[in-house]
Order: sequence, then structure tokens, then C-alpha cells
Amino acid sequence: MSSNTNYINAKTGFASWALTIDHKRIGLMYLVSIMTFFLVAGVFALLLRTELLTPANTIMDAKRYNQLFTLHGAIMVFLVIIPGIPASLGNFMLPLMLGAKDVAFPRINLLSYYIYLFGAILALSSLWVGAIDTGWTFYTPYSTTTDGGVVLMVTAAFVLGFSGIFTGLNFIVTTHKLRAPGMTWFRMPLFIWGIYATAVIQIMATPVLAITLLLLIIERTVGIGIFDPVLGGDPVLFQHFFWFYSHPAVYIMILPGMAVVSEIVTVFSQKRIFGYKQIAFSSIAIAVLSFLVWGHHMFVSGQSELVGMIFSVLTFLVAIPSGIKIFNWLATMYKGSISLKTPMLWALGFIFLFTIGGITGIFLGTLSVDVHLHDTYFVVAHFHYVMVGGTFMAFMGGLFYWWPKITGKMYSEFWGAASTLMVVIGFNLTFFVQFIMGSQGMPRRYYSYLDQFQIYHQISTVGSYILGLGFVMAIWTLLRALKTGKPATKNPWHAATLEWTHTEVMPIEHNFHEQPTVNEGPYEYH
Amino acid sequence: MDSLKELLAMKLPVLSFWSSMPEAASSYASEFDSLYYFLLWTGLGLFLLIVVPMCWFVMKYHRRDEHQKALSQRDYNYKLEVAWTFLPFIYLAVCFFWGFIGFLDVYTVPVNAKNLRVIGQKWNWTIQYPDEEISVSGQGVVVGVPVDENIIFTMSSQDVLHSFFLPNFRIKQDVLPGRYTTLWLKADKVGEFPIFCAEYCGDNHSNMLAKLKVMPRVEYDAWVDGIKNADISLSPKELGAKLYQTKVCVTCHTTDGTTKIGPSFKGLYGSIAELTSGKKVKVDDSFIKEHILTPSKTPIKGYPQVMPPFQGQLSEVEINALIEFIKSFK
Ligand code: HEC
Ligand SMILES: [Cu+2]
Ligand SMILES: [Cu+2]
Repeated sequence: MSSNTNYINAKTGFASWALTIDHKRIGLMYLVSIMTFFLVAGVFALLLRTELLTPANTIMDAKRYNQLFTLHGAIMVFLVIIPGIPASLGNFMLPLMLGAKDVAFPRINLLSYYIYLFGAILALSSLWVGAIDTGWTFYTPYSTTTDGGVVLMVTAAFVLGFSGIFTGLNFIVTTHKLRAPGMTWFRMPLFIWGIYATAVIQIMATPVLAITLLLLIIERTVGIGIFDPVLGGDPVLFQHFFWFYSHPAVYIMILPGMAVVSEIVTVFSQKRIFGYKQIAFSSIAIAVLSFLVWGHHMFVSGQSELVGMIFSVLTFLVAIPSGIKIFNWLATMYKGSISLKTPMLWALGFIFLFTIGGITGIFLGTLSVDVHLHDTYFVVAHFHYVMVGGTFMAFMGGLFYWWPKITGKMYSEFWGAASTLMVVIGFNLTFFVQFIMGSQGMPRRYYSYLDQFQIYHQISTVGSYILGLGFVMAIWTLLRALKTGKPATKNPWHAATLEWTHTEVMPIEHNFHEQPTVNEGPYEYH
Repeated sequence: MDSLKELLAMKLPVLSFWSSMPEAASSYASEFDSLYYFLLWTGLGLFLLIVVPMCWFVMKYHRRDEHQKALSQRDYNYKLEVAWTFLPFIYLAVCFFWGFIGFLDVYTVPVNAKNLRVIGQKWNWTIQYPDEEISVSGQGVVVGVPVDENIIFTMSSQDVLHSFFLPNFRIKQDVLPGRYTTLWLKADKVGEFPIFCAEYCGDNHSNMLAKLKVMPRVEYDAWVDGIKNADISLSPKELGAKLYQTKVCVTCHTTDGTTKIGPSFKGLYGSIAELTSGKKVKVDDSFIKEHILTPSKTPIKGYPQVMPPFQGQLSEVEINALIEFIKSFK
């Protein structure tokens, strides 16, 4: 057994990457693409925040501003956060953690990467036709009447949906069919449970988005009235369709984040995860409930009070499984042997920020309070706490956690920790004031604002620079490790899951020298 | 105490979080605030319930040397699991019912009320007063209402979605094309309160503002008279200039010869316009009137067809005034 061949140096050349069916290489290609789009959309965010330093024209006019926030949102949602963890880390780790040689359909896996790339190119080419200014939600009738490349962007979202469906399908089949001998459902790492639940939502909800977007495209190109009242359509119908997908999508985004945190918390406490089954089933509960809450985005859209009431109740129910996870993580840490290495810092950051995101979610689920807060900066702050403070923190945590396995190198703990701190500070500065602004009535998607809000906007902008710097530092720390990092060992964190215990420092092309077998749970630390 | 609050709020706006709601201008708004602060304080409690143990565990069980093992491998406790699964139900049920009651207040319209009509269009509000037979409109328009009376807004949109948002009353309602929605309020404070458009609607979304001016009844009557008289005492050209602002022709038409979204008014009167059909017509009084009321009937070549129709929104007097106004830019 030579330890110097691995999945990277086993084959070389452009074609060995472009045509690879190795889930690890595909995961890496996703990772690079996703991070690139993250940086692009992040720069857009900084431009937006800079514009908001003053209520007048600081660096751009209203039209440009509207286009930029649309792009920021659309890229972050469709190209970064939705595919984010599952397509990159999930692709890389899922077969390894299950003790499989690859995913069930390696060729479809490669296909879904190219569909993703094609969707991304479509999305960006809409810039060329004319940047769209509808917001990432594409609300009708605005989106059917404004000019710009709406059709292209919507088609892009449609195409990207298929990439997600294929990946989801692949993960589900892999989990059912390719588990190592002895790995029962309850011996699977919780990461798998989270990714599995995500995949289920993805293949069930995405077709609805696809149909909705298709109807939108038909309305715009052929002029058949579906959503536009001028043509006899119903604009609110679009919102129903859209959120029927996009609320579950919120859980497509957050479940994988929770899944990563579950791994990190137990490994860095060197203690069996507390409430394994509760955490596993709460993922499934979230997946199911997520389909029943879309109407909470529409409490003030003119839907009936009864409908509002039902959605409010269901929304509160979703809070419970999320709470269960948090409490179980805390109980895992209790009497553990807690190491504050960088991945754990991200995970603790996650718990801290996601808790705030969750609690402010209760504000928004409370009907009368939502009437006031809806479409204000309070909502903007809330979902950034969940999406960035939650999902993205976990994503970074996962990258730092698995980086030694992916690259065979250790990064600088100092810079890792420093970047986490920067991100947490910058993040809170940016978004906490937005809660205050929002509660005072500052509406979102405003290019200009009343003078009384200026101080908050300025604090938020300064915060966003710190936040941006933090992310750049984190990514830089990871990249630098490639060149200057110390060689990693096979299992630097003393984890007990297969991707650490049964592989080389960097996995070989077919993952394992021989088929691993499993005879205990995933978190037995001896 | 109050002066201390003010001081803190002025110097360090972040600290004002605990009293961050804008001034409440109705009894509903005050009730709303009780719920809001309930959520804020219990939320803070919940936050501490999670973050304090987290920090405490990190300090207490911090790994001090490499080989330190966990003190326990216990991974299940029935009572704890039941507690954190079912106790949240109680808390959430309270939040739900309290919020639901308030929600019914917002959307249960009172019987005895003064009716106003609200029309949203890119990018201003028009408010019609059927009883007083007046209407006001334009960006930043002042909407007068009497204090201590129920006011119902019946709202619709001329183009895309908008949302009528009054933070001081803690209420908001989307304004839709092709359907009427309602909102009501009863102000118990006099003063001026901002009205925002809260649903994104395009370029000037953030300028789609208005002001609710709550006045004692006598003052309100005088305000109404003032609006009625103002228009009569103006010369046609002056009235035209005013309408040019309030009906927001100004967002698309200039008077200095430069093209904005539509053609400039300078030299327009008497010129020859080319329609998209290729037909050429003289821009005279009848043409202008027809184009203002129903622009889609006479689409002008080379421009986007975005001018809103003003049919039903302008009186004969006002149309004449606008024509005189346009005529004055030779
Ligand atoms: C949203 C932008 C917009 C607003 C608001 C608007 N217009 Fe227009 N207007 C246009 C455009 C664009 C055209 C040319 C295309 C067309 O409508 O056929 C036009 C054309 C016209 C014309 C005919 C010009 C010609 O070449 O013969 C007149 C007259 C006119 N507008 C008057 C007004 C008046 C008066 C108002 C306010 C009461 C107004 N418009 C408000 C956009 C606007
Ligand atoms: Cu939602
Ligand atoms: Cu608007």
C-alpha cells in the first residue's frame, strides 16, 4: 500500500478533470465554482453597502442599485447557497462516509455539474442582454413587464433546478444502496441524514419551481395571461407557486449546514453525539414541514385570515426541530473534551448566529408582528443570520474540518481562528443594526432612505467591510495551506467516521483499498 | 430616566434597540408594542439559555492536554429530550395566539368609518376623498386625516405590486393590480407620519413616499378647504405646473428640451408626432388630451410605451391646465 498515490495525482491533464467521474474531483470542481460565484456576489454586496453610505447617489444610480441587489440575491441563492454544501462537501464526503467507492450514478453526477455550469453561464449572460432588476423573487407583474434579461435569468434558475434534482437523486440512491456492510441507518453519520433529507426536499420541491418559472417564461414570451392582471392573470398566484418552492429551499440551504455542525460538534468534543435519533428525525421533520409553510411569506398579500392563521401555526412547528438540534449539540458538549480548533470555532459561531436567526424567525412567524416587519430590513437581517450566519458559517467550518482530508495539508490555526473572529464580528456589526432599522420601519430594497436611518446604514456598511475581509482571510488561509501547510496525518481530529478512519491521508481514486465494514456507531471515541 | 433614555438613544443608536419601535400613533400600535417587547425579552432569555451554557461548557470542558478524554459518553436522556421537544410548544402557542388576535384587529374593518381610496402607481400614491370630493397625489404627498376617527383605505394598483406601509401604526398591506385590498386605522395622536411603499416596484421604489398628516377635525376641514380653493385661485398655467409635479409627469418629461423617458415638453405643442404605425399627426389640443387620457391609443414612435393612462384621474379643468402648461414651452 503506497501512500503517495491519491485521487489528485492518480491522473493528470485537463481531460482527467473535465471528464472525471470521480465524486471527489467533481466535488472539488463544484467547490471552486461555488467559491468563485460567492466572491463575485460578495463584491456586489459590498458595492451595495457602499452605495447605502448616503441616501443620495454615492457610487451608482437607482437602476444600477436595483440590478445589483437582484444579482447579489440570485447568484447567492441559486449558484452559491442552494448547491453549496451538498454539491461540494456532500459530493466529496458522502461516498467516503458511507464506505462506498463512488456515488450510485457517477456519470449523472458529472452531468449535473455541467448542467450547473450551463445554468451559471445562462444567468451571467443575462447581464449582457440587460441586467435584470426584479429582485431574486421575480414577483409578477413586475417581472413580466420590466425589460432586461428576465427570461434568461429565469431559464437559468430553471436549468439549475435540474442540476439539483440530479444530485439529490444520486445521493438518495447512494444512501439506500451503497452503504458499507454493517452500516445500518442508525450507524450513518448525521451528515448523511442531513444531506439525505435535503435531497428529498430537492427532488420534491424543485419541479414546482420549474413549472412556475416555465409559466413565467411562457407569459413573457407568448403573452398568455397567467400572472399579469392586464392579461387576465393573478399576480398573487405566482407568489404561492414561488414560495411553495422557495420556502423548502430555505431548508435545502440550512439542513446541510446543520449536518456539518453535527459532525464538528461531536468530533471536537470527543463525545458521542447526544440524541442521535432526535437529530436525525428532526431533519426529516423539517423536510416534511418545510412544504407546509410557504404562506408565511404572504401574510400581507391579501390572502384570507384563516389561511394566514394556518400558516402561522405550521411555521411555529418548524421551529421545534431546529431547537431540538441546538439543545442536543449543547448536551453533546456537556462533559466533553472540547477543543477550540478552527472548525469548532465556526460551529460555535454557527450556534450563536443561527440562534439569533431562529429567534427573530419567531417574531416573523407571529402574525401581527409580521405585518409590521414584513419587507423591512428586519427580514433582511433575519435571513442573513440564517443563510450566512447559519449555512455559510457551517460551510466554512466544514471546509476547515475536511481540508486536511481533501488536500492533505494542515492550515494555520492562528489565521483560521482570526478569520472566524473577523467574520463573526463583522457579521454582527453588519446585520444586527438591520434588525433595529427594520423594526423602525426601514423598508428593504430601498436605494434611498430617510435621514434618520443613515447612522445605522453606515454602521452596517463598515461591518460589511470587516465581514468581507474575514471571508477573504479565511479563504486565503485555506489556499495558503496548499503551498505552505504542514502535511496532514490520516485522522488529525481523532474522528470516528469512515472518511477519516479508513482512508489514506488523501483518499485514493477508489476511496478505500478494501471494502470497509462497520460494527459500531459513527461516534465511538476510544 | 426618560432623559437618560434619550441621551443613550442619541449618542449610541445601537443601544436604543430596547426602545427601538417608532412612536406609536394608534391604540393598536401600543398593543402591538406590548407583544413586540414580550417577544424581544423572551427572545433574549431564550438566546441566553443557549449561549450561556455554550460558553460555560467551552470554558469548563476545554481540552487542556492532547489526550484528555470526555468525562462521559452519555448520549441520551429521556427527560431532557421530552422537555426540549414539548416545552417550546407552550411558548410558541402563546406567541401564536397573541399574534393572531392582533392580526384580526388589523384586518377586521370597522363599520363606521371614513372611506378613502388609495391608488398605487409607479412611483407615487394618489388618495381620493369621495366625501370631500378632493384628491391628492404625487411623491411625498401629504395625506390629511382627522384624529380619533376610523379611516378605511380601499386600495388598488395601476401597474405592479406596491405595499402601503405606515410604521407608526404598525400596519401594512400589499396593493395589487386587478383586486381591491383594505387597511384601516384610527390615529390617536396628531402629527405627521411617514408612509412607505414596502413592495419593490422598480427604479423609484424608495421615493414612493407620502406623509400621513393627522389633524384635529377643525384643522382637517380647513385643510380640505385649502386644497379645494388652491386649485380654483390658480391660473391655468400655474395649475398645470402644479399638476406636472403632483401627477409626476416630471419623472418622464422635461421642460428644457432634453429627453428623459418620454419626449420633452419644450417645443412639443404644434410639432408633428410620428406614431408607431408610421402615421404623422399634429400635436394639438385634442391630440394632447387624448394622449394624456389613453396613451396606448396613440403610441409615439421611438419611445417605450410606459406612460400611464390618466383617464378618470384628471378633470376637464386640469386637462386644460396641463395643455396650457405644455403650450407655454415654445
Ligand atoms: C412613466 C413615464 C411617464 C409619465 C409619468 C408621463 N408620461 Fe407622457 N409620455 C411618456 C412616454 C414614454 C411618451 C412617449 C411614448 C408614448 O406614450 O406613446 C409620452 C408621451 C406624452 C405625450 C405625447 C408626446 C408627443 O410626442 O406627442 C404627451 C402630451 C404626454 N406624454 C404628456 C404627459 C403628461 C401631461 C403627463 C402627466 C400628467 C405625462 N405625460 C406623464 C412617459 C410618461
Ligand atoms: Cu419561508
Ligand atoms: Cu414600491
